[in-house]
Amino acid sequence: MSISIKQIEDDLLSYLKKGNPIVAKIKDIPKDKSLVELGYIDSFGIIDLVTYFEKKWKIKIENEEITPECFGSINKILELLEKKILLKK
Amino acid sequence: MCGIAGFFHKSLSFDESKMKITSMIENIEHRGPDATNVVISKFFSSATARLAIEKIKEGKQPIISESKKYILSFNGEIFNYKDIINKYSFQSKNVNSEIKLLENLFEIKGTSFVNELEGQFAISIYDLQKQVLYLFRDRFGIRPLFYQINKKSFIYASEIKSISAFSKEIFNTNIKSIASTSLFWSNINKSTSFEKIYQLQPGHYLTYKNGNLEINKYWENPILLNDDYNNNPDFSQILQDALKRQIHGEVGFSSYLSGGIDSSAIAYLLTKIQNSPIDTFSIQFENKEYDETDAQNKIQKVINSNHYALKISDQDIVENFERVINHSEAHLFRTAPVPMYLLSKKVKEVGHKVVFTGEGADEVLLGYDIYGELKIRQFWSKFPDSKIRPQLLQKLYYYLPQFKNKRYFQITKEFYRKNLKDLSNIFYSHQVRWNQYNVIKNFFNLDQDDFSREKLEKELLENFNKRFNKLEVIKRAQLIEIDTLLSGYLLSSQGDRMTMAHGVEGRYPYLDDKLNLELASISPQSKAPCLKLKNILRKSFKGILPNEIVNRPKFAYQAPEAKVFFNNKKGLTIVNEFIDGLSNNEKLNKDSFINLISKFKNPDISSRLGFRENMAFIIGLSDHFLKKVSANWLAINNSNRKKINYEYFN
Repeated sequence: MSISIKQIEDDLLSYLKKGNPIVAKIKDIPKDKSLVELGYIDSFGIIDLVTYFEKKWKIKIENEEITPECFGSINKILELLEKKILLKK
Repeated sequence: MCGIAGFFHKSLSFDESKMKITSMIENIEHRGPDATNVVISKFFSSATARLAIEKIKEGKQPIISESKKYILSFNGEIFNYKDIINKYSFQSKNVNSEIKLLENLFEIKGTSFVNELEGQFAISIYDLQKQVLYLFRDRFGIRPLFYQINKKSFIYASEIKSISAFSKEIFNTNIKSIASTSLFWSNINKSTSFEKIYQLQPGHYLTYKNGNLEINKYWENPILLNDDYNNNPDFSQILQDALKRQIHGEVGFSSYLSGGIDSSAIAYLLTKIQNSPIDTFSIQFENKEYDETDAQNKIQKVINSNHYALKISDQDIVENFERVINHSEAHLFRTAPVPMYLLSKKVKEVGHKVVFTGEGADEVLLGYDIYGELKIRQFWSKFPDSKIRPQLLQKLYYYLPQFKNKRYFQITKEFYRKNLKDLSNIFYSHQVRWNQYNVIKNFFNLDQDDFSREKLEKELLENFNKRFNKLEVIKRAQLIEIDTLLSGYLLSSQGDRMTMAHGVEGRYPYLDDKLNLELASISPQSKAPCLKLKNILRKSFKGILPNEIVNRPKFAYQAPEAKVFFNNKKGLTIVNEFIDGLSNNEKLNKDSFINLISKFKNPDISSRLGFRENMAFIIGLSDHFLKKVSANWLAINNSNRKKINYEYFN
């Protein structure tokens, strides 16, 4: 079973909307802006995402990869996830 | 220690004045259950609900001065009043109480008399001939004073609900207070949580004359003025002297005992001074995350106090939150005032009127983590690529999971790196904390420029003396803490308003005026070398108090937060009431709160609650209750009307 980028993205957005009261009310989440800079997520939010991805996609995210760069925008997060999930296969 | 209230109004009859001033003082009778007195003159009326502590018989007030020139009243303690009586040989004039002292000193010195007063006070003096009203407030803001100015009148009181009883209008909660509580954790400058209601700031006095207001600052914190460090004394002696000055009054005293070194040192010295066991009071939590029982027991055994511990459950927080808001009259960002409210009730039940407490120690002795955080960021900024330097943050915040856990720390430290090199920023010390405003403000409708962080920081800065900008950064951090969290929250919402809800007076020896003068000549490096926060206090109690207490790292006093409203029926009823109110509350962002509440309710994700989400919820819920309780301030319950003594002056 192959996972498409669209699936990963939809899952990410739905997770963010469910767990983040601020993101949930925004219609179009900007994909290339830093969610941290926008005040949508904080360090706690990033930790939460990492934990979720590892469980959901059964991947391992290295400590060095948990940076504001990698977790800044939706696109950056997708880039990382795509790499990880494809690599796993 | 009392509640005071008064107003100036040119066109009220004696009867109208009587009605107004009676409502005003009845609304704050909890502050002074012992006697209620009113003085009514042509344009000015004043009242006091008195909690008698010192010169119980002689100290009746408000008074009309012997010269018939002034009407005076005050709330608080003048710890050096006997010294002043001696200094000016007032004995010959039969000066035997604090209020008589104020009268005589003001007659000879005018407004500058305040410079001689040491203590915790709010003073009102009305000049009957010149029709001028003066109000004075103590240096750190231990005793409150609020006012409202209208076209035809000026109204002031110890609590806002008293002003509401005069004007019979429902006050609107202040959106600016939501912004500043989200950013600074308190109101700032003269703002309060209600529109058009102001506070007289700590260390200021106010003159109201011909409809005009003039406000002057009479005091600057000595750490701002002094950089001549020649002092390295034994701090326990300094503290003991302060306590001796503050053991004042005819009604005895007791002490809080949190388990930290600040209150332990106080309780230890009080026992020593009294030479017999004292009564101590502490909060314990059912929730072990917040509980300090073990430390409390250790110190209790040493001082052998008659100890009263009050166990607080989640349910207690839920059930008392509304009452606490009614007394705090401010937006809260945490639930921690609730246990303090219940503890002062306990103090009252046991029969005490006075309780010593350790507030202010972390500000004046450099005990807070934020001072350590500042030192680490400064050190790290010299070598930003260092892998080791940021790890000091893990040592400082050892009790927080995002620091303890190695991989979480990986990201957490990046948030501390953000403004690492902005060393020239005037608020360098508080940047990381204040960056959180970015997240919290999304829960409120704070889009206007007035509520931008830059604008609010600028307003805070305007309040500081010009010398502030030139101070070393750690002193700036101290002054920020003193002006925001200490006076705007710890001494007020968590301090005066909670103890006075039950007619109990707090004493704050770490904020003693002389003690702070002495501290100003001790360098920050001696107070807290390297990361040894509050070392000056720890050092001086080494070998006196148990090691576990002396070396115990700071355990911030906290109470269970937002989640307590979601695990029981009463809490959920409150949450539903809050949701219903969201549609009529243009200050709160409805969507954000609805989403936040469903997150709290969802057991799968409610463990993912961040610090900022908790804070936003408590601020939002406070606004809801502030609206609700302030509407009730108009309908005064006269069912147990006490005897009021009226005095008229034509």
